Amino acid sequence: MLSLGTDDQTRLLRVAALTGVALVAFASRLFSVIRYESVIHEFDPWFNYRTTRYLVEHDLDSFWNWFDERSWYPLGRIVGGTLYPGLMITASALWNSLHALGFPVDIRNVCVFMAPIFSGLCAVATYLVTKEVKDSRAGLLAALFIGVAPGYISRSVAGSYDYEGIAIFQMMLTFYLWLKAVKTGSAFFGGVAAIAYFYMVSTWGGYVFLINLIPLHVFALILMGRFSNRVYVAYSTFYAIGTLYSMQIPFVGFQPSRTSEHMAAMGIFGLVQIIAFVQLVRSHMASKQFQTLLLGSVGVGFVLAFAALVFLTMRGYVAPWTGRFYSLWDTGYAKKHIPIIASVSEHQPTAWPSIFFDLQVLTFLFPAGVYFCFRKLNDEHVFIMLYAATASYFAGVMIRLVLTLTPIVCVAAGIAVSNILDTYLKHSPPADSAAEKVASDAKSAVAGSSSDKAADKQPAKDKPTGVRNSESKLVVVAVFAYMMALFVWHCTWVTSNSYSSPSIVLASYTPDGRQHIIDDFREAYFWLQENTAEDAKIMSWWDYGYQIAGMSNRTVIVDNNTWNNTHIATVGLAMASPEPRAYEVMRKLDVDYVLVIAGAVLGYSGDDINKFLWMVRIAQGVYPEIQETDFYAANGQYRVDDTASKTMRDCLMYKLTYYRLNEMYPDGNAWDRVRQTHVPAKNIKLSTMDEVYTSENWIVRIYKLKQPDNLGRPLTDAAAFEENRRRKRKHVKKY
Amino acid sequence: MLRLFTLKRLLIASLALIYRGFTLTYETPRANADRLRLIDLGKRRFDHVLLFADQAKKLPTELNAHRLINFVNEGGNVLLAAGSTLPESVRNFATQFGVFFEERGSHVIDHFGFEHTLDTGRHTVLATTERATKPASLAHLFGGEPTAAPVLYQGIGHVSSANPMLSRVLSAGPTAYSAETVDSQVVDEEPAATGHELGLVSVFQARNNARVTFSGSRALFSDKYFATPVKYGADKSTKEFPQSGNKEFAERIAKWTLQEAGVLRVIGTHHERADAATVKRDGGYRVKDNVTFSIEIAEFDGQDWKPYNADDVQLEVIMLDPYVRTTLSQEAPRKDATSSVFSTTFQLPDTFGVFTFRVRYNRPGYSWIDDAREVPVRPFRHDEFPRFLSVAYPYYTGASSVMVGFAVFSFVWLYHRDPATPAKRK
Repeated sequence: MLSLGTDDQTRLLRVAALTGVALVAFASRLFSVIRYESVIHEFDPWFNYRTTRYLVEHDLDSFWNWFDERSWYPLGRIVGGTLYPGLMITASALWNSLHALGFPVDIRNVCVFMAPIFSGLCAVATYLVTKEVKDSRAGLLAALFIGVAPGYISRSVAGSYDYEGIAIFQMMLTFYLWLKAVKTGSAFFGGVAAIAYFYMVSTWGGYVFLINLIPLHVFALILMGRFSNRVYVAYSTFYAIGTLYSMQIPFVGFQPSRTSEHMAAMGIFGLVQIIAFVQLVRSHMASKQFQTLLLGSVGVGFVLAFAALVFLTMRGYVAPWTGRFYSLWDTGYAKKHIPIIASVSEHQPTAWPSIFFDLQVLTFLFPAGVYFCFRKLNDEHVFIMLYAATASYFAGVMIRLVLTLTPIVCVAAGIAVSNILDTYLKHSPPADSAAEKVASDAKSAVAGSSSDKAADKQPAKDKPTGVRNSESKLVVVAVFAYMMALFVWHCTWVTSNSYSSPSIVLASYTPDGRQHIIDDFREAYFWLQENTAEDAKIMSWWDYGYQIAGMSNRTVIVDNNTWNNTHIATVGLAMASPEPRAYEVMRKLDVDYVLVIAGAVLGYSGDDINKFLWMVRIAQGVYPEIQETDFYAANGQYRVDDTASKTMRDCLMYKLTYYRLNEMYPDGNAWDRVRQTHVPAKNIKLSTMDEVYTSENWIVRIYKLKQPDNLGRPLTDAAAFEENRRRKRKHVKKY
Repeated sequence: MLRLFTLKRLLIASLALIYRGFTLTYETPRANADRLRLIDLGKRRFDHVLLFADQAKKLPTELNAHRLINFVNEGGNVLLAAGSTLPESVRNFATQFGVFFEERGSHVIDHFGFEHTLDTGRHTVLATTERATKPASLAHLFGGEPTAAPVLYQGIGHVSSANPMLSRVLSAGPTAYSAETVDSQVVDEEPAATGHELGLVSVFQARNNARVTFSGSRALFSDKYFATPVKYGADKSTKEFPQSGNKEFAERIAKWTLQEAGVLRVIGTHHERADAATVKRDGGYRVKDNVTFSIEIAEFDGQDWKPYNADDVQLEVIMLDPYVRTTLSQEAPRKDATSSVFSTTFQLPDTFGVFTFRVRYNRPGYSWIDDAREVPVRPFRHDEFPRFLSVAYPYYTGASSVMVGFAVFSFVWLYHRDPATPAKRK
């Protein structure tokens, strides 16, 4: 290092710090692998994993055209045309290159580690964005923040093989390139940004945020009178190339020209052309006439374009906003009109504590950072402000959108902290030494140390007074160093405790502190794979569809890709109906096995009875024979004990959940540990199904549908006969 | 080898069973339980049971309703001949099939249709010609000639449920009714069932094609009834026949119950793209493909498998609901064919999904045929759409002209230089 100049040393330190941050980002996501095993988590990742495996086993061509007849039986699903293939293609490219290099890595491990790897890259992308907005010192801080912020870790721990895991990286990369394009006015960067955008589109439906934010940025610049040739070149290149590219993804198809979500981008594109043309005219006209012309033409153009949009929407050429979008503006919308969206817990409005939980100190630094952007207004700062404003709103509306808020919070917080450190850590002109310290500060924060030795090393020449003297500087820096340390500690704690559970494997602790792994899900899915026919159809609530398909390799009726509300409602109908009606519905769907999740014994609260009201609501929307009110007890509460309504106690879901539960307890003491209530002691009788499997802790219960009675009796009668009851004489045929 | 089991030492010989290759085992209710066991170690010991249970008060546990139903569920056939004093367990057994025998001790009585020579004055020996006439399949298997001799019957009647698997093959005449006849009492109550409502012989074919025949009369199968001449009818319009129709009728019933008549079998089904021979493509169907479907069905006539002739075999293409329902046409049989082929060519709907090609051929009396094949139908691949559309030619022209124009413009822009001609300025 001695032979290097100061600049080179700085650069080296910066690279080292950034690499360190990337490694930390990677490493802090490995809790789940170390604690459990290298396994795919949750629900959606199982689908991604299954499709990736398909891609690796077949080729891209058959993946592109994959018609999956094993999900959504009997409708099937055109997988190739209804997913964002970016994640799978990335994973399989990684897998292929590793194999080409001679590393025989299992595709599962590639999938498990995808999100941590891309989190490291995301830290780098965030560094680049922040560097464009402020400088590399802020960049390093922002990179560190995004590396460990729980808001992002929640979706990118090892095993969480989902779109978001890599899409945030792509988003930040696109933003970086976009800012670069706006700054330089270069068509080259606009084109590269379009390619990054294409990569993002190929991966995550959240690209819609991006394709609205960037036009919004342009629009704001226009309104602020900051429109320039740079913006024109950047946006025209980006939009034209990006849109054409994005239309190559089958799932996106013609949406960019046909749906309201994309109309803003297209409108701004038109507007930019008009303004550029007007400016061209201005350079050839007197300024007085020009003002009138400008106002007139832009105004008329805008009104005409808007009228055209309304007309096209009404005629059906342009699809109106989808329900998911309405629910972003009106949080009660989904609950009223589309229960299937409202039923997903991550679509609920965000509570304050969860924002603090995910961002901790960044929550408070975020406004400060945005404020610093206001202080010195330029094109990039406008972008940061817009991003901050929109993402804050969306994050407040939906829990899962905290994810899109996190990067900008990190960027803004990076700006804020670096501003403070710039002010209080800086002594004499060599600006780079400050950067060095920021870097070392970042590293010391990583190490969890609260000490900051750099601050008091250099003696001041002439003693300033008040807040400018070195003691008060030291205090401020020490406070911030302590806050940063606390932040890292909090992040690590949250990651380790809240976000590293694979959710298909549960952990509990025995009184003597040993870990006890509850592996009911995999146990049951494995049972299905080993003990059922190859073409058996499994019915369960849609949450488990991907897992059954991924782990048991069996045909499912509905799964987490909730594209067909009616089909899901049909399953809800079966679950909410009394046995004979349910049997009829299930026969129509060719169901062989029914799988329910029952948490009553273990106290597993994510079970089907707790989700049951959503099933009822979704079923009610399509089949009015189901009425939600029938499922409440007389006092209007949702009960499962003796006071439960008759409809509730007769419905299939209730029976399957509590079947034979009372045999586990002394007479009359059957207890539901989730609902904290007694369960009726009376034996539940099942006549259309046989219990075939119940997992160790009774979480997963599998029932097999009986064949129709050989003698054509209703199955209830047949079961009654087996119990020696006389059949009533009825249905007498008249001749 | 087929094994046959009967409960009572009775006139089986007249059904010519041994002659037809059956091995008979006779048992009485008092026999050792081991010998009466129908299912041993999960396997049927007998193929058929002829249960003549008209006198025994009580049947042993081995032959209670549950055991008999298990036997049927395992694919065994039962010919049940009861009487007015049938055991309770047999009544329970019949009830499960939708056959409700009348009260214990009752007989079917017909004051206008009794047989004159055999009747003892109670008018319980009926001579009936009410054999199955519809549907055609039943008439073919059980219906006699229009001029056939009546069937003699003495015993209990039954009413039956609307179960489509149960078919009436012999009914009482319109003037018959069912009443208790224990002490030659006077019938002073409204009869429980009258006329055509009253069934005499019903046949049941379970979902697994096991067959059960219910007869309320044992005498119907007796030598005495087989041989006797018949004279029946009210005073003025009596009819006479030299011999009763019992033998012919009983044989038909026995043959049917022992799976010697009306037995159908699917040899196999086959389906492929109609143009499979000329157009090579990867496996699997695509929407709107033309598909040729064929099913091969054979009928057993008691001796050999023969082609089955029908014009009403239908195919359904189902995905939740039937999308296609079409009649299969019988192909001209080959020489010495042992089965017949029914086929059709149809177009798949313009909907992708997992379709079920299903042939459900349910004709009462004949074995149920339910043959289902799941067939995935995929949408077009991305490269199977037409590449160039004639309507799109303006766009192709537009795109290519812009490209050419751009190239030309760039060339001109880069390599054109205005010659400095100040003279032209003015």
